[in-house]
Amino acid sequence: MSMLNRIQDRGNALFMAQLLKRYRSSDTKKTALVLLDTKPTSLATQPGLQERLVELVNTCRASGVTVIHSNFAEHSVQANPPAGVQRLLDDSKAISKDPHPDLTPKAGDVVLEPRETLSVFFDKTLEPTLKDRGIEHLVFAGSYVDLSVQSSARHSSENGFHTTVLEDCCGSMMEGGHAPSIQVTLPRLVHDVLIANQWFKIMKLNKARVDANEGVHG
Amino acid sequence: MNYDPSTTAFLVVDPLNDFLSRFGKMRASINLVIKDVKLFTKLKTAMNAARAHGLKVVYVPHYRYDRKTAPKRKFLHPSQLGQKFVGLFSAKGYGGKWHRDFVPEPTDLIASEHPCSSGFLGTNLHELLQEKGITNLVIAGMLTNTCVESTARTAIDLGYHVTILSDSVVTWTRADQVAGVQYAYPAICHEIMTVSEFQNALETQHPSGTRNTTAAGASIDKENSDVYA
Repeated sequence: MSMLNRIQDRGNALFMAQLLKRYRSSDTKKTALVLLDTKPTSLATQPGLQERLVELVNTCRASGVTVIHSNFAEHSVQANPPAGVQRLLDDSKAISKDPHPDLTPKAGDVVLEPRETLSVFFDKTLEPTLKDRGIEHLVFAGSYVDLSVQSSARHSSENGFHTTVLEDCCGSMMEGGHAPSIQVTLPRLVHDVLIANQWFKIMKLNKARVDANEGVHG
Repeated sequence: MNYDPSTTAFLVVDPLNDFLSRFGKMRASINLVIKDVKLFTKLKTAMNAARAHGLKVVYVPHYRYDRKTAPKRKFLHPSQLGQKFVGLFSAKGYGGKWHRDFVPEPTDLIASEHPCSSGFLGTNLHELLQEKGITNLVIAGMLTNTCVESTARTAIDLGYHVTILSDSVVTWTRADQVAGVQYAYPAICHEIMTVSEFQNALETQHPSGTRNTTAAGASIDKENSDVYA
């Protein structure tokens, strides 16, 4: 029974993946990277994540992909928030070292007001901004795939955006929580779950990646 | 947590034939987890307990598919794409009707249909709950890590206190059930409890419930031991 269940589910997943591939685009002008909760305190608990995000954000800037920044606020309307919201609050309040310079906003980036929600889409300025810039494809990365990345990515695909989550550019709050989010749940709810190199290839950004990150790696 | 009937609602997500009936299009796909958690008995027991203690039961149904009203946007949500291909939850057919064991009672509320995954997005659910002064939600139904979890995530962002009943939610595979119950819910919900713990909490806090909250009914037993057993 369990084996049959897995075979049936795998078949459905392959069928859906084929259907969803037709939505892919390599138009950098219609694409935005949404960086969620990248304060040093959050990144400090995610080995290697900061380096991968730096490469990602440099590649996006060099190739005309809009970069959007959103971090959690230092306060919340909820008196006793769930553990995940409390984690984001604690990260925001913590005194930490300066952020990596490439992860701080640069000219041309979009910086959203600190939010009190897991989903970035409760920021009422986001969708008008995306519409003004003609952005249809959103790519999500950040410290917590099980918290803000997942809530925002779910909301994004519900609101009609082509939605991609970058597997190796997300950390997780729950120990062991990365794989269940990335491998099991998100493929059912967003259009693509990819590693960054797969996304660079689809977007034809490999040259931009090398050029933009020569200094970083050199 | 105090499940005060004046401020607490019990949300039941997508109790429709295509998920729950043995003739439903997706029943075979989720039957393994239905059996694992004994869904019919547990969900009915939880709903009976909620009603008996005066909690408002709110139905949160998925969009019923109709070719004429089907969304035509550029990037369909994966669930919309799947629904389109198999005609899931047909508006005119059997699949979109309430399962016989979970038909709304006259005092229950029914939210408008959610188009994708969250019971709040694109629906009147938030307004319905606000009108009744609801601040606390107990959530159960289908599917654990898709519509139930999306509804919970939005509820948290809207400021509700959220409890999920871990043995009254089911989904595609055991891996999906673990992803929702063991990894997502502890991060995004205030409380996770079993139906038994929920019953005890209600009985301890508000021992006025008089209705039989454990009788699951003959039809449910039949459903639990049907052709998929």
